[in-house]
Amino acid sequence: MSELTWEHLRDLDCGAVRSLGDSWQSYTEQQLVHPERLRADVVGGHLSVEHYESDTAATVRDQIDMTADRYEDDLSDYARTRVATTLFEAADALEKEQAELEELVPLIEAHGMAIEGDRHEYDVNLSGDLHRAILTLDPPQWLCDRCGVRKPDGFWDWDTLKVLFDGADLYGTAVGLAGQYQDWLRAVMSRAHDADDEAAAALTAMSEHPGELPPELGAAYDDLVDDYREALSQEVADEARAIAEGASDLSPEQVNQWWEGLSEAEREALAEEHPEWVGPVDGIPAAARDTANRALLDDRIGGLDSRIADKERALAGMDPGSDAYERAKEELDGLETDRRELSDLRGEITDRDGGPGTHGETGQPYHLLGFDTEGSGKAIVAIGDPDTADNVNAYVPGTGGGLAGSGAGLLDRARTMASDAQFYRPDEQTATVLWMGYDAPDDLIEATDDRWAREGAENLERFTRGVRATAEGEPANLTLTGHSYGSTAVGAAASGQGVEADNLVFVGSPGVGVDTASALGVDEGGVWASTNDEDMIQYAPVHGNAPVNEDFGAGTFTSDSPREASSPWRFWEGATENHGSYWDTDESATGPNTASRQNQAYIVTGQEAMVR
Amino acid sequence: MTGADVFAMDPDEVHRSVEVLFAIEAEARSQATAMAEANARACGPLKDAGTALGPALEAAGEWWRTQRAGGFARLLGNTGEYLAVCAEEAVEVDEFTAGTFAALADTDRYPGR
Repeated sequence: MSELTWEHLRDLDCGAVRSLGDSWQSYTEQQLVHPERLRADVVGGHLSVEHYESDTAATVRDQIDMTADRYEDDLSDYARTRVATTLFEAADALEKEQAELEELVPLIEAHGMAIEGDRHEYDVNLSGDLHRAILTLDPPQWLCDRCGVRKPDGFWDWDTLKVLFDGADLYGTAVGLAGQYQDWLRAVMSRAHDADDEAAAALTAMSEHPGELPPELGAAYDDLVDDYREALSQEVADEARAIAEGASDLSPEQVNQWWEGLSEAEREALAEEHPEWVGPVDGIPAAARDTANRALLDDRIGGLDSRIADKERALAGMDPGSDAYERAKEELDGLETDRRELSDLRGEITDRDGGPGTHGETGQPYHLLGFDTEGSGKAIVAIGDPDTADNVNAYVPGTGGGLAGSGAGLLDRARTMASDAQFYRPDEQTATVLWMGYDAPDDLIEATDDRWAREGAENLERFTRGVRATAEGEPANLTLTGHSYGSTAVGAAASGQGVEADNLVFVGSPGVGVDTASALGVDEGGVWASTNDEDMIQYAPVHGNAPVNEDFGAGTFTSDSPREASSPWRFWEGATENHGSYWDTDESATGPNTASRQNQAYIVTGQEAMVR
Repeated sequence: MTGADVFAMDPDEVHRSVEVLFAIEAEARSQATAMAEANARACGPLKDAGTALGPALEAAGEWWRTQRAGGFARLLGNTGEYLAVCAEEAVEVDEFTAGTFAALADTDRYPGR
């Protein structure tokens, strides 16, 4: 487990880590000469059939070929993908957090604060000097500026008295700033520890289940080589399963390298025989995932049909008044709900002929990147191809989100975002993803707990890294748009695990788990927030400082509040309705939310200067 | 392994194959050792800094040297020794161990083994 302190992180030579990655990379290239030489100089040269012909000779040539193949695979899988790539990723991640520290620590020191406590949960407190300065009515200039008071000149004049009366404000302001720095520091260290632990896990996993080596020539060779060949044919499948089940500890970038290293036949076989190991995996290209997930979706629906039929038959023979009947009926209802939701999802992304469907307004094909019926259900649907798009916008829904919503409401919002992106930036391709990849809270009571956001953080982190890994050409301009509790989920992932995103957009947010944009690990200029003036969420900042507040440090944009209460005395309706009005269209009862949609489209398509 | 209907061998060419196998074996070993040593040196500061990466990386480098690059080299050595015996005996070799090489191969031709 990572025991990095902030001082260690500050002083770490990330360049040396990267340079070691370069050494492993060069070493890999150097070693690849050996298998080539074995094939050219031995198998095809001195040991060719014209110099040595017999059964033994053929066996030895096969053995040398197998040895060469194995070494090439080892160099690719271990030396390059596992070691070199892990080092590059660790160096990049740690260096990024180091840059944050270089900005943050001088600020903490310059404001008379101190870093204290455990490395896994640092505190930023006011130093003794700062306490004394406030108590002796000699606050530092920065604090006077923040509180809007003149710095006293040492006499009991009007300014001194004003400072005396404003003492609580001075303390409150200083403590508030310390809290923001603390959030920032904890987020930096959380991401650094996470990167360090992930790198270590990837390296450790390498030696836990290594591929077999060919047997040595000698007694029992014939039997052993048959076993080896059999194990070899299972190796790709075993690795694919380990990756899909999270047992391999490969990053999405490493998964992508592994996938690209497979032959076309191996990829096709995997997708056909085990779509469950291909469809949900970040780092595998969207087109392959889509094919696998559609097959998987058909299978699941078919499987549910069988289970429903079985259950109906069982119910027919049961006493309707019995407890067993009630239980079986409940199970049947659950199966039918799953069946309906999956069928709705399939209907949304399939054309009339049963082929992959397209979004009518933009003409972009749907890509099914994942789905699940566990919990409230999950669905990840891309409109357009994230691997080839110039811009990718992932919409993360909040409370009540789940598989059910992906069949219509939530996907409608994603479709609106896709249309807006194309309308406001027709010269670029924007893929819009409905990312319902976490178990969202079911209601507002559950939504006061941040555990749903924390539990989904790793999935969201991996999704963003997967988008980066599978990008063809330049990586896309990637935006995460979190609505309501979805913004809390985005914040938890960004501050805790770290996300590979250019922009974070918080819409109707109850707080994102940290009090400052600085803690989110992305360029602060890419952090945006909007809450319309009717939205009820402004009265419930249960997950920290609302990101629309000035001291949070995000850019803000205008959103209209087009919906109205059904009658004046039902005043609360406007507040609840407008929490969901950010993507209202011409078809909406009260008309479109043009301002919100336009501003979001500008951010998503890299036209931030147009945001108002 | 054997049971040949056809047997034809140019022992000199087989010996040359052995020389290539032993040469690659030696190179792979020394290059892996150099890589693992550079790796271990770089791990020092990482371990001092309390990273999880440092110890894991050091273990990975050593694992690579002994198990994978080492395994590759071992296989080449074994195959080379087997072939050296084949070249010397000029018949199909059914039973082979490291001892067979020491007993039957032309060790003058492969000094240091």
